[in-house]
Amino acid sequence: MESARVLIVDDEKDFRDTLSDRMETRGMSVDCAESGVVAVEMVKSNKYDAIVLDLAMPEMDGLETLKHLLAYEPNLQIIMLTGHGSVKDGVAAVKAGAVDFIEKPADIESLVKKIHDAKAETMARFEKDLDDKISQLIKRKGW
Amino acid sequence: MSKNNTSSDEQLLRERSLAFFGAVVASVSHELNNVISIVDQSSGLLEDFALMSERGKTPPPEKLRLVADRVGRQTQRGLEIIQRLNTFAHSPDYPKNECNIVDVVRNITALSERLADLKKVKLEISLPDRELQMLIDPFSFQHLFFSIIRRMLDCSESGEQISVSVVEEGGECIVIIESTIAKYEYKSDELDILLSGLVPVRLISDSGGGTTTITLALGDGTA
Repeated sequence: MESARVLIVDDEKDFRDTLSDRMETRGMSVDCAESGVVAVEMVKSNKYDAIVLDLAMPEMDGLETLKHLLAYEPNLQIIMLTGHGSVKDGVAAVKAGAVDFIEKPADIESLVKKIHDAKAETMARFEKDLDDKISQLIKRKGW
Repeated sequence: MSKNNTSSDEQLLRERSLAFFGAVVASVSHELNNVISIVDQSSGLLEDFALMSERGKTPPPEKLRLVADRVGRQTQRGLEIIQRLNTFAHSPDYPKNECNIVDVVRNITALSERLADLKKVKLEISLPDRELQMLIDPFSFQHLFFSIIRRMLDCSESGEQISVSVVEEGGECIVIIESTIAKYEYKSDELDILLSGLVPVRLISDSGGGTTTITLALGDGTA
């Protein structure tokens, strides 16, 4: 599988930088955003296989950012980062449209697996859309 | 005051004090979790670098230095957070205590910073260099202070400001909380009155010209 392209959204610079380094050593291409507002702008000009989004951020929190991102592109694969012991928050995020959640401190291998699953889901959806378009074309042409 | 009023006052104080304690601890635990997450990921990154070295790909020294700096910085941050929490946790030990008001205000303001950050409100503090000793109930004072700050933050929008200062005037220690928060209007409630009696402190509020000032006067002439 081609390397995944990921956006990390977290207001803590040290966290963004460290997680970004770890993902890059695993062959991923990583961008970072320090806020939900910046994340929304970056998603408008880039394609990401997965977005790792912190829940607790100033101004526009993770849930609010999630809503804005999905309003722009409903098929975005967003993994929410929640606080320790915040399963309730994670479930709320999934109900709001995140594909999954992981509690901080995040186990890197679990997070990487979730990102690869998200990329696989995106590719499966792309292939299905392509199949549908080809089927429609064949039908239209009467082949 | 009738027996019923006293017991309902006690009930209110008990419930709200527990809620205050919980709110501070929850905020601190969230911040500590961020610190631990960064240290945890940094440790993992060093492990990744060790594995890379075993495979013949040595990371540049400046990368290692960056990680070391990061861990050092976050460890220091964690220690400061724990120190603040420890000081706060011990404040109910002695309901009436000679306290350095400057330290108490410094600590509770620092504990409120995360809540202000989440709202993108600037929380500024101006403290004198010397100690100002007063006989007060430190836990109730912090509860009153936090309650005022929190109500200001509930009405705030991004970019607004709260300034906290401590001065000595005529034998009294004056704690001033000033906000430019447009939607905030101070309204004294039952809890404020109860806490002011316990500290004890005179609470004076003043609004005008887009600024709200809450003055907590501790010392001679208090209730």
